[in-house]
Amino acid sequence: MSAASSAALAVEGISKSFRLGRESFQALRGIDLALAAGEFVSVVGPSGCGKSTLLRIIAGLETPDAGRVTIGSSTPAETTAAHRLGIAFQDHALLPWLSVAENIALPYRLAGMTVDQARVQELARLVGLGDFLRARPRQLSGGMRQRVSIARAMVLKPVVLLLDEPFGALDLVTRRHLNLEMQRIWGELGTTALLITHSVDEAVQFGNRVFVMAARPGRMHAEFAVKLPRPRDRRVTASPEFVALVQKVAAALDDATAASTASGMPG
Amino acid sequence: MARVLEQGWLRSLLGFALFFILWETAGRTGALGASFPSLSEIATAFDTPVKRGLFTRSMAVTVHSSLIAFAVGAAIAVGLALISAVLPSLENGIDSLASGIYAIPAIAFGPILILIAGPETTPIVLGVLSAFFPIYGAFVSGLRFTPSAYLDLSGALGASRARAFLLLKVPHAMPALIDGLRLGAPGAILGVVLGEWFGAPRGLGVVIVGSMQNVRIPQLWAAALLVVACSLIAYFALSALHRLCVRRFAW
Repeated sequence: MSAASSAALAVEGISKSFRLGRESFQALRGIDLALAAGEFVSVVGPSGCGKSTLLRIIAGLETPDAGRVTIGSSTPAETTAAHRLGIAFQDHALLPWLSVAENIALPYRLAGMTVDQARVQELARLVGLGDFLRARPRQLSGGMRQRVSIARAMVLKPVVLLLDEPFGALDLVTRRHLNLEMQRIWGELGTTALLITHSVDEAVQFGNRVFVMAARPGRMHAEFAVKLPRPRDRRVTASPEFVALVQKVAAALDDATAASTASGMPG
Repeated sequence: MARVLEQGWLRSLLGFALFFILWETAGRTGALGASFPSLSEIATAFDTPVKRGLFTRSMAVTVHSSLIAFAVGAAIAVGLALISAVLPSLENGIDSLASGIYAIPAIAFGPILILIAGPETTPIVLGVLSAFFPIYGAFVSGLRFTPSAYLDLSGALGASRARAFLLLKVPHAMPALIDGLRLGAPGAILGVVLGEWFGAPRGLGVVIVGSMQNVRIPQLWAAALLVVACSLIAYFALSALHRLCVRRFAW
């Protein structure tokens, strides 16, 4: 994309290698990605394609060997230092010793800011946990824990929301329900968001665009624009257009997986 | 009956009762020799006010020394663990120091300690040395093995090291710390009693050595059992605290 300079999130030419014993293993090669403000982009890829590494680089948790990431006009390090990044993990990483409200408020405390209780309550209500503010995470179901983690990711009004397989550990029924809920939440907040997933359905359901990655080395393989109406509820996901697109993305993912296997381990 | 037996505490109670009955029988029949008295014989060690007074005074001294040893040992352990977690460059040095202290054989060092610290302080010093290591080891490992997801979270949210330490690492390590305290408390008592053997003026350890030298079998057993009781009370009280703490701080 040439619009990198005006993008809310721009990833340009990112490469990253890891050492595995004596050998060097290239996790990412030449990744380009640009998200317009308010855009929701999904990245889907076979396991081991480096999609989580990409997200970690954007979050400033890893540094790339080459290329750069720009969030608005800042680096990832500047964005995290300004506490403007929202992130939710597959392992929700809630603190078991804090209540739901305290978990949602944690980013304020980690940032050394005064907790905005009204904002915490507003987000708890938004994710449907307004009546569970004083509950502890261990009293909640897996889906409810993930809602807390999403509310926590949103509490500081991040400029970019990073979602690393947030629904990956949930059962199918909970997952579908939370997918719909998450679309509604995102619709209300309109935050620029990047979703990493291995579910093609999920990628298409959420994304304005869907990227398919290939592995070894992790690289962009295909891009699809999703021009389906929102909210993408069951009516939309049952439509022939949705099903056809899911099949196209799935085919691209099969291609990518075959290409990954064929290329083998790079030197 | 089967449902009643599912109650854990009731089963423990039955276990203890059975144990005491076997003990009493073994003592009365002399099955384990003349130095193994029955429980009722041991009870004769408490049958006059003078005898009871000896035990009350001795136990007060031992408990008092053990509490001091436990508190000092815990304070040093927690302090060193925090320093080693905050200043990773000192980590290896402090670990070696802690293991070195732990490796000191108290039994060989005791007589020297009597000369250096004096007979009154030696029990406390040995108690501190025995209580220190399990507390240090448990707290340090709790502080070091913070789940990587917490570290990612604090990194992505731009938390300062100090805030990540206070808000994530320390609370996460609380169950481990209490676990260490639970192991350290009997250690403190053991160290104190051992220290008293080496010639302290008062304490249950003194009664133990004195009874042995004068072949006062019931008194010897009574003193030893009181030490065991103190140890068990400390252990179970801290186990209860550990359960509360796990419920509060862990999944």
